[in-house]
Amino acid sequence: MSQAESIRRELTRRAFLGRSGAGLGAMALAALLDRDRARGAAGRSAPPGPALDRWEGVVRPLHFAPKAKRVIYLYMAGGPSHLETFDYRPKLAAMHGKPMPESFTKGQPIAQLQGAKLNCFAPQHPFKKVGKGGQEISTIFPHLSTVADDLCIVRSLRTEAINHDPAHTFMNTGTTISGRPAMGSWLVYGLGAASEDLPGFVVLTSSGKAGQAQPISARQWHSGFLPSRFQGVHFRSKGDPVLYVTNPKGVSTQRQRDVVEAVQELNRLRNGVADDPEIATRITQYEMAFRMQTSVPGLMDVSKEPRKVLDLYGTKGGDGSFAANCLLARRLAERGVRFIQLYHRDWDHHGKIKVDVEITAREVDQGAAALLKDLKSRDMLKDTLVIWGGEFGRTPMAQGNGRDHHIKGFSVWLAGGGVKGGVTHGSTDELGYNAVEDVVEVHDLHATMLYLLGIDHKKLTVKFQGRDFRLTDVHGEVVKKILA
Amino acid sequence: VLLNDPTYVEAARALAARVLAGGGKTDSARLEDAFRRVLARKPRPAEARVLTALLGRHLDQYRLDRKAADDLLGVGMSPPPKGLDRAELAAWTSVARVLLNLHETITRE
Repeated sequence: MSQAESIRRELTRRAFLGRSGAGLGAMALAALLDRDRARGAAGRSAPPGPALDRWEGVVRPLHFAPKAKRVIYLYMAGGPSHLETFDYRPKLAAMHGKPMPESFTKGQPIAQLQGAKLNCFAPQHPFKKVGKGGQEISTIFPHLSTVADDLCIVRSLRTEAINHDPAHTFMNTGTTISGRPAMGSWLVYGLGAASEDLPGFVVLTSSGKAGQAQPISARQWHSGFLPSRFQGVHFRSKGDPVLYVTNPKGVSTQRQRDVVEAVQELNRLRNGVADDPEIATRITQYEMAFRMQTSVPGLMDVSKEPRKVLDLYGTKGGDGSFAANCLLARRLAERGVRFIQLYHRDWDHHGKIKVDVEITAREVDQGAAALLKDLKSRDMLKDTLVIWGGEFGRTPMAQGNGRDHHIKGFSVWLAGGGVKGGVTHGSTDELGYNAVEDVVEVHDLHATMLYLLGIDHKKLTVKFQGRDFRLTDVHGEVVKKILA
Repeated sequence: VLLNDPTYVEAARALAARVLAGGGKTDSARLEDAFRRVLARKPRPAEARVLTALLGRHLDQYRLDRKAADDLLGVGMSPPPKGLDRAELAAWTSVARVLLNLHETITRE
């Protein structure tokens, strides 16, 4: 029985409804497990125990030659202002304090500025032309400015949802409706995991000094209708990264192994009777949990990182900062994790944007730039796709001395694995309101990401509720112009 | 979390103590009692074999390593019960941890 068949079975919520007897599925699972045991018995050294049923992915062979093997997604939660970061609009400065022309705003969705007078608000920080391509980057990013030649800045992104949670959901799953798989889940499902003792999809979060601590729901890395083994695993970035990752006192590794084995064995026996597809997932998860008890402490221990690497990131590690998470992201990437998502939750600058956006930028600037440099020095940037961006941008109009949510045009950047460096793609209009040139939809970003990893976004589908679903649903065009 | 959370380990110890105190005199009677408490059914022979083997192995180990037994029984906030053989209680705690982690135990269908 192939893995593809086994997953099809796992996907069936109640597999037994479609079959006359329970024997076939149980036999198939037994075969799967026997194969694993045989693999384990074949004498691979560490880690102990039977080999994990490592997921090999459904896209085999890949649809295209892949440019990247993994993704590190630096997710700027809250909605960074494009106008203070990567989209310089001098005309907006000239119009400061004047009414925003109605031709832009009439009939357009508005979040908190409903019924308010809409006046132009000048960019609050100067920009500089940097790198060989003379890209325009705000001076609040001195470190990122030094790696401008690696950045592909996209200034013409557009989204559909104007409030945080639905916009996060859209950015992560391609729809504003909750319950579909996150992009990381799709990737691991499609490509398989490259690590046997870490999950394929890992999430780290950090919050900033401005103290917004944007709420971010675990739903954002849920696997939706894909089996739960594909969901993102949230590592805490301070203290024990995974709660209770250590054995209880008095329980040696071998005794813990005995307990886990007995749980597995009884679950298998039960599966012979109940034939519940989620039992297979549960078995995999307990095995993974046991392995992570060994792998995670090693992952988190940055004491062997050279001084100059720690200085590059500007962290000693383990302090829960975005920079420390960037360092962990590189370590996760080295260990074969497929999709690594770092949330920094402090970009919702409704007020005093001049001061606060600079604080937040400082919190991510050095770590993000260090990550690119560090990956490059290890020759990993060429097959790691790094994406930086939030769920939406911010209005060219003032909200007091801040900016409101804005969905019609905002900026992200990509770097590494198969994208052009040192280029700026697309543009908003002269006031930074609408994306007008080379518009990129969120679906296009998803399609491009999958393309770079070797997947045709139209072919990675899963049947659910009677129809085929994909990350891009019925949309999405690969953004060819930014491909290297 | 279910495997290692101190509260869950403590719960497993409490279950083990109950089974030892009132579950019967033989291992099989005790196992039946534990199954009834957790899963509301009797163990099947194959299940009993797995757990009896685990019990025997850990009982031997905890008899030789009294410190490990004391460490395990010290997990949690309630004091471990007196009057029970500590190695035996520790070994039964292993069995209880298995039962409390089964798919059948933690899943509602």
